[in-house]
Amino acid sequence: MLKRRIPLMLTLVLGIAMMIQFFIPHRYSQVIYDTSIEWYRIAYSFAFILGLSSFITHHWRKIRHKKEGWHYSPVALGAMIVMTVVGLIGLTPGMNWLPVNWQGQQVSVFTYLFRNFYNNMMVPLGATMFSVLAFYIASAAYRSFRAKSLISILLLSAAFVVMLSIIFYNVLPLGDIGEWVLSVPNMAAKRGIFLGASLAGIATSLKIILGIERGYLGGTK
Amino acid sequence: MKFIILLPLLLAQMEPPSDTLAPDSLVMPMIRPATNVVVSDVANDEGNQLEITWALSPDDELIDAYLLLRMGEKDTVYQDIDFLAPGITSYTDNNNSIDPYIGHLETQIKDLGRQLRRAEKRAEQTIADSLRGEIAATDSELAEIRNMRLENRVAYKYKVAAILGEQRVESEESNFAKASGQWFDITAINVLVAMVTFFSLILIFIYRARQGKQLFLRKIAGLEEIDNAVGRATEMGRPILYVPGTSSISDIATIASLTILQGVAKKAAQYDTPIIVPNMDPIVYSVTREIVKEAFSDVGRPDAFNPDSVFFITQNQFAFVSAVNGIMLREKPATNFFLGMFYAESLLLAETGNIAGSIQIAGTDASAQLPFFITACDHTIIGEELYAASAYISREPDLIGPIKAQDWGKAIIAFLLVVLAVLAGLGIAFVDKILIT
Repeated sequence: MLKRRIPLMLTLVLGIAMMIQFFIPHRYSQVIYDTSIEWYRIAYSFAFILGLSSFITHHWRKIRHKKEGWHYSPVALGAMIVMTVVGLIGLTPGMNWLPVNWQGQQVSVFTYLFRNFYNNMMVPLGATMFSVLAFYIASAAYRSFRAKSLISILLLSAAFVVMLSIIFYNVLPLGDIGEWVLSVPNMAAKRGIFLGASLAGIATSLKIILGIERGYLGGTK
Repeated sequence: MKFIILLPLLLAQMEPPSDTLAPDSLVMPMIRPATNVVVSDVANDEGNQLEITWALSPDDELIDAYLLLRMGEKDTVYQDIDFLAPGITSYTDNNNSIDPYIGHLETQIKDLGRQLRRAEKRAEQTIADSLRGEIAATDSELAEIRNMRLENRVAYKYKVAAILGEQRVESEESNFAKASGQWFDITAINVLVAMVTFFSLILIFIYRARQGKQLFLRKIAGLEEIDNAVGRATEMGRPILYVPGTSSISDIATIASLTILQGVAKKAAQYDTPIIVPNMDPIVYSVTREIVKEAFSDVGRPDAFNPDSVFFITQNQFAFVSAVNGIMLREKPATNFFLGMFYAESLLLAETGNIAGSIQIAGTDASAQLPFFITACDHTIIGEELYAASAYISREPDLIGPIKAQDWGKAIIAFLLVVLAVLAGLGIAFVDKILIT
């Protein structure tokens, strides 16, 4: 019982306190706000340990039970261990163990490896994943631009107008119609969604503060 | 003969010596000072700030700069505060540039202290002496800098000096003013009014719902389909994939997603359908794990909870995407839920799910990602519908009440927008300030 009641009471007290804090510009109020941010960071670092243990146990179990795709897990675990070791040693200020020449500078081999792994593996892998988005946008656009109903015809027409006015800017006599579609009807819809979502967000926050919404605690009991 | 010898000397004495010549001062016009220097406390701030305004020197176009000078009530001389470009007529004096430097000097003294202790321990007398000297110098610099801080409840007056070359023409002294922090931000009064109104509406509708008043909720297709989607996974004997967004727990969309996860996890537990919950944020991971675990306990099957089904992957956006895409292609989940806050990864996830042949229900309030979800998913929960999910699923009066209050809130905002637009069109001046904080 207390397991649920204490977090709910803390949420109520701190939620109301932070609401009041918003209206108080005084230094003491700002100190409370800054302290709460620091507490969040501290809690976050503890949660990160939980996340790390989840990562290790998840992959360890996969390897142990030879689950489907288990052969990716040693790579994930190995990469984590290597990056942690070279990062912890290589990014220590003043570290100069096993110096090597890198871009005209004498740096530790650990610093060299960490930067190399990050710049030449992490960054290109991330960029590759991101670039796949271009192909996915094309395939998704192809599916959504099929004129099956009045609404999809409207969507198709709007998309064509916007694309043509951007691609053939100053070539076709379309004027600012593309810009108008983006900044008037499109913006109106976006603001409508934003307004509704903001009010809903405020209402959800109040429900959480008052303890009405308890789903995030894992049950309504 | 004697005259001839002395002539050059006489001539030399008649000419002014070259080192006494100050050509600039001879050609420079005399400049006039800035006037009407007024100082006042900055309103609605945390304190330690004063606002100084002045009228430009009539020779503003000629001068090089203005120099702002400050003197406290207990000081005897003016301190130089800042050089300002010509044309500037106001300045906010505060400790924003001084405080970080004070912090830096304090850290430096601590570091030097540590080094000194180490040197004393090793009996390195020369180094220790040098460090003591450095500490003393830094200490005195720190004291000097601290003395320059603008303190609350101390009266200060200012002068503005106009500068041209060597000329420095000071204005008259300003009035005295004291800085102080305020206990209420008057500019946020409109936010307070809106908040009180909206919160009152929420409480009124919760009360009415508790009294048994039937409140209508329109059909939300995406939420209606949750049961069917879970049922499909059960029939096919394949897992459910639930991604609670890629943002942190402080994002309200993430919390809305977690309330839906609770219902989905309970249904999955009832039907003995595996559920996979990959996480990108460690705090969200610890919460989702508890939610799924409790859902299994709630339906009386705590032993069926697989601790390996809820896990943390990585905080790197595209590494997370590739991991989840891999899961989708290997495990072939029957149903994918993408609910919460998403960024550029939305289409990458939804298209892969589409390729894997899963039924997909997505929901977010990120308007930039909605078109991608609408295109690639079977059902999309748009914006505020995401927040209505827990009420829609549970039908509890306490949760339905606030949804009605939201509708009223939107109606009030729409009405205000129309009225204020008309008033602004009529040229009424204060209208544009009503909604600004």
